[in-house]
Amino acid sequence: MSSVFTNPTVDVQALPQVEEAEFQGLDEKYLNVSLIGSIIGNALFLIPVSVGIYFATANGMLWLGLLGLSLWALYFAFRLFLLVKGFRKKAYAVRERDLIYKKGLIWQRTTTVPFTRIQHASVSEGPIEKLFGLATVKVFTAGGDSSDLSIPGLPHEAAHRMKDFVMEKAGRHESA
Amino acid sequence: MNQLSQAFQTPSRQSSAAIFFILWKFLRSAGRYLVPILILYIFRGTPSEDSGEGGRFYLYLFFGLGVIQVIASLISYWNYFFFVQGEELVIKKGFLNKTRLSIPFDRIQTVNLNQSLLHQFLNVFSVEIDTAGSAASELNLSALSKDKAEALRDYVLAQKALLIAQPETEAEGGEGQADELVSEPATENRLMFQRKLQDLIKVGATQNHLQTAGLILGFGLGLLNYVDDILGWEEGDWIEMGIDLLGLQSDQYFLFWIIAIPLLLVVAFLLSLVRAVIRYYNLSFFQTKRGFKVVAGLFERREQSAVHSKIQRVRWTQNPLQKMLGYFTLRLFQASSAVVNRKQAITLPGAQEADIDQVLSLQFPGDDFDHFEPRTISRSLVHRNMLFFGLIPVPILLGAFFSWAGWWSLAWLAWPLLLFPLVSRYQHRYRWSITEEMLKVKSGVIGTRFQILPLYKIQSVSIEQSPYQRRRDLGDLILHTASGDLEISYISLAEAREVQNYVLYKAESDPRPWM
Repeated sequence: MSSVFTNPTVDVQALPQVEEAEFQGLDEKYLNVSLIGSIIGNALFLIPVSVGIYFATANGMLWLGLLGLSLWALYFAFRLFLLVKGFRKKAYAVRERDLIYKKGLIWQRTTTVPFTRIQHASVSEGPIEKLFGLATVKVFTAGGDSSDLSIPGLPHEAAHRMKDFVMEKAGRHESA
Repeated sequence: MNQLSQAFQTPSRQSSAAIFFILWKFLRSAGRYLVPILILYIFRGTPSEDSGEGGRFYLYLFFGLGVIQVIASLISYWNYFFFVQGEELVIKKGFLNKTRLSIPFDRIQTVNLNQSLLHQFLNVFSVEIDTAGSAASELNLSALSKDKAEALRDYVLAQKALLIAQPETEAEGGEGQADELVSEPATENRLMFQRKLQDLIKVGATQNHLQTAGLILGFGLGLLNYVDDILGWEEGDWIEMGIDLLGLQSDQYFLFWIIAIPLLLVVAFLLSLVRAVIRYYNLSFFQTKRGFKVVAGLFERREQSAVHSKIQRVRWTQNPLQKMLGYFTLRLFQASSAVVNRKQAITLPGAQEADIDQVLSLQFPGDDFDHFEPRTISRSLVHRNMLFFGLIPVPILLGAFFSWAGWWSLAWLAWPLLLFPLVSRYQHRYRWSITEEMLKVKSGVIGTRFQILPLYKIQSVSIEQSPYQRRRDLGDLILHTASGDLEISYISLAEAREVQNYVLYKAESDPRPWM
């Protein structure tokens, strides 16, 4: 068994490239799902902010209240900007032997999970996702949280099909 | 085997020594509450007036609780049974609240026999049965006679092997298929290394004493804080007491620290020594039929096993003290759920280069470790780290310290200068290389750390890029394994992608199971 990388038995350049896979974007409706989720989340955050503003104003420090409010608004606007812009960056690809998911507007990350390493897969539907008929496929490996994949924004049917496909692939390779 | 299976079919109790362990467990948990009270008594010196009547009441209370506990221990011992039913190991326990635990043989991962000092006195073993799941699904028998414990282990493992072998008889030879069988009967093990007392003294002497000193300091200050509250000391009183104790003048703070710091290091040194001896006493490292096994410990003889197929990652480290003696600490990381992570790495302290080679050649037969072609990481990492950890914190620290330290806080301006050599050295010394089968990483600022990972064992691969890295065509490569992640930061994106594609090819085409 030769172990020299400079004299490999395979041509490394000829290997399939993750970068050249055919990536699919998420369902357009998923943008609405994440926008609604973000608005609800940030509205909850508004409660402590407004309490703070109330006390600041009551103590005659209107400027502090206004500062707090504008900081919150700025943060919220930034989050929405990231969501809208980042949505186009989220994409997945299914290859013959693995599953790829990439995301990130500022910090970009591409993760690839070979089917042979998948322990199990699940389909989950949050309340907002359900409203739009969407679902999330989660794929679990033995490598812990950072190694797992979660692909959101798939139409309900497609999500279940993908889960079944992935599980079948995982099972077939395992017994081979 | 028939006779054995007969023996385990009928429910049986543990050795009567188990009663001691039930009591011992109670005493230990009670002790945790008693220690603060004891400290209070010791520091007060004479008991105060109010403890006369009240003191007697507490004495009766403790005595009464003790008697109740002894009776409870007897009842719990009497109602604790274990036996084999079908293809499961069953434990039945409880008097009023009955519990029945059963573990199918094929779910059992390891069977470990342990012997603490108390066990040694009573001539019994505790049996720990580990399953694939979380720590909650473990099963413990606290005391069995040597014969019975060994018979139980061998029986359980033989049954498990039988169960696993049956559905996979078509697989060739069964090598690496029935790989989850862990503990082997003692006769098949070959002793590879042993650590005598003098080795352990060297191992203890070359520990990271600064780290131990830090731990002692943290623990000591925590304890002092606690005592302060009880005794109503002012903050800093203990420094003055220390100054008194050392026979110094009351204003010689500086001298106090000059004496106290080396003293702390001496204590840390001794503590490391004692710890090494207790932990690794009479350490024996075996080669078993399918992996390795370590038995060690003074008060508690722990037995840990690692199967070749379960080992995902190998790491050996060396600090400057160890370098002088040519020692490394070798660790073998096994696949595990995060909950039981710590238990799943087996350690060989005081390993020499030849020892490591021997372990590696058994773990990765046929691989050549001399043909690594070292690659470096980008200098941009130094710039990023200096910006994040060297420059940005300075104004923040200046601001935070200025209010009470005055112009002394300007000393923080020296921080980037101190940090730079370390950050620079890290990047300068970092080497990684990849062969057909393996990834190897060598790193470290002061000490050196080597890591080896067989490529086909990875679970998934990620590439990450920050905006800063994007402008420079750099990226982080992260290889996820079942025993933690291995990250190579700041390499060229092209390289990261090349390795990613190759590693995926290995993981997807290699027929060997990752576990």
